[in-house]
Amino acid sequence: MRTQLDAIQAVAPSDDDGMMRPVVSALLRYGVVFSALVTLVGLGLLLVQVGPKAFVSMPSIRAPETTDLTSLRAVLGELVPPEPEAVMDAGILLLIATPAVTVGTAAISFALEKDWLYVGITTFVFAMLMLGFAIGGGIVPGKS
Amino acid sequence: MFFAILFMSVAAGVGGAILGLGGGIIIVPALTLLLHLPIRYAIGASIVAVIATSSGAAAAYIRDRLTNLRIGIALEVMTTLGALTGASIAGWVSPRWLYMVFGLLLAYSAFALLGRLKMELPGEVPYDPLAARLRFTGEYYDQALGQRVPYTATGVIPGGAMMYLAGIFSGLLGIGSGLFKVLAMDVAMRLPMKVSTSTSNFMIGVTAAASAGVYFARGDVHPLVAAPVALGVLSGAWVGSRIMGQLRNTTIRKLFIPVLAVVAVGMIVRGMQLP
Repeated sequence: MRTQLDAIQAVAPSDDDGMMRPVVSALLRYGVVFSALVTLVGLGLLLVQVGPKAFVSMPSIRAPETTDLTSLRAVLGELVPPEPEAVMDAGILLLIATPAVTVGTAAISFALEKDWLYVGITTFVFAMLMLGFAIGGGIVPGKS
Repeated sequence: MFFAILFMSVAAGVGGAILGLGGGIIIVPALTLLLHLPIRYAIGASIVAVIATSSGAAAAYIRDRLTNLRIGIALEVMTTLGALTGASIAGWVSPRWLYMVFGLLLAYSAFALLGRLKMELPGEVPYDPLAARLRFTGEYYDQALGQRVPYTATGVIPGGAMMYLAGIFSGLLGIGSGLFKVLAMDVAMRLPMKVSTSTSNFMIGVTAAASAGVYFARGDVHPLVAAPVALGVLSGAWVGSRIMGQLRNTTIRKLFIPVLAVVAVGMIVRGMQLP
């Protein structure tokens, strides 16, 4: 009896994602390390500018004390001169962007393999991600 | 306090990376009940935690061929459509019943998984033409077994339906649906447990990133809370991804079932408490 695995392997090699796998993996690793470093620099700045008490007083964050860093523009605006909280936010925004990088490179890798079905599927997922970012960035009015 | 958040986040990252979950189940109660932070900052931080768990472990899982990118991305379409459905029917359905129904579903799944406790690898699975068409197949080297494991999916339609449900659930209640994703791949599609958890790990990051912008714009991502959570979870997920490769599929399932049971009970209780 011919098994399903044999049937599939007859059509496609089992080496499913080709040579792009190490590239996607490396991009993710560098992206994550970079975002963590930026966040660490932000915490370091907080330690230098405010002192150790900033770390002890953290539980005193209460609802009325909101952050005004709610957009990419606001975060970038506070980076020069570096505001500790803006630097931390920049690191977190870089982290939020990493899944988009993975999906984007996957789309490119499927295109290189000429697997158009998956280019379509991946593009749809990437578009959904971008729509989410756009709603968050206030370009499209989102539900509150 | 800073170090309490950091320590808890490391633990959430290790567990989340091994089990394919986001860790919001741990992060939100820990930040609100133990550290008395406002709920909105806890939820904002948990979204960041999900992405950190996913990205922190994904580099290793993708390199080791554990993550099946084709399966993850194709199923992500179902999850996304489910999330859209969930967001548009919010307000029409009572959260009380939702919590109860999903709690019972998870409780049932916990029992279903008990029957598979001793199953290391799914072996030969029934032929599914859709799995062949979508090329839901792959191969990874299992460090615990010391052998290459070729695998293929079955039950794409029930698996996809479960992913759609998982999407509705997260769209309605804002809870990560890593549990449901792992279940759909392990029980319905009969993938090896490691492939299920690492593919779920990849998917939850994509889902969370899509909604993270909204939380950020609302000001729910407070840097002083999110920064230690992000750093803690990232390092935890890195450690977790190193541990997971060494574990047997049966061990991962043994760790997964109690988590499933606790969450199921928690949801049923929450449903009963709601008006």
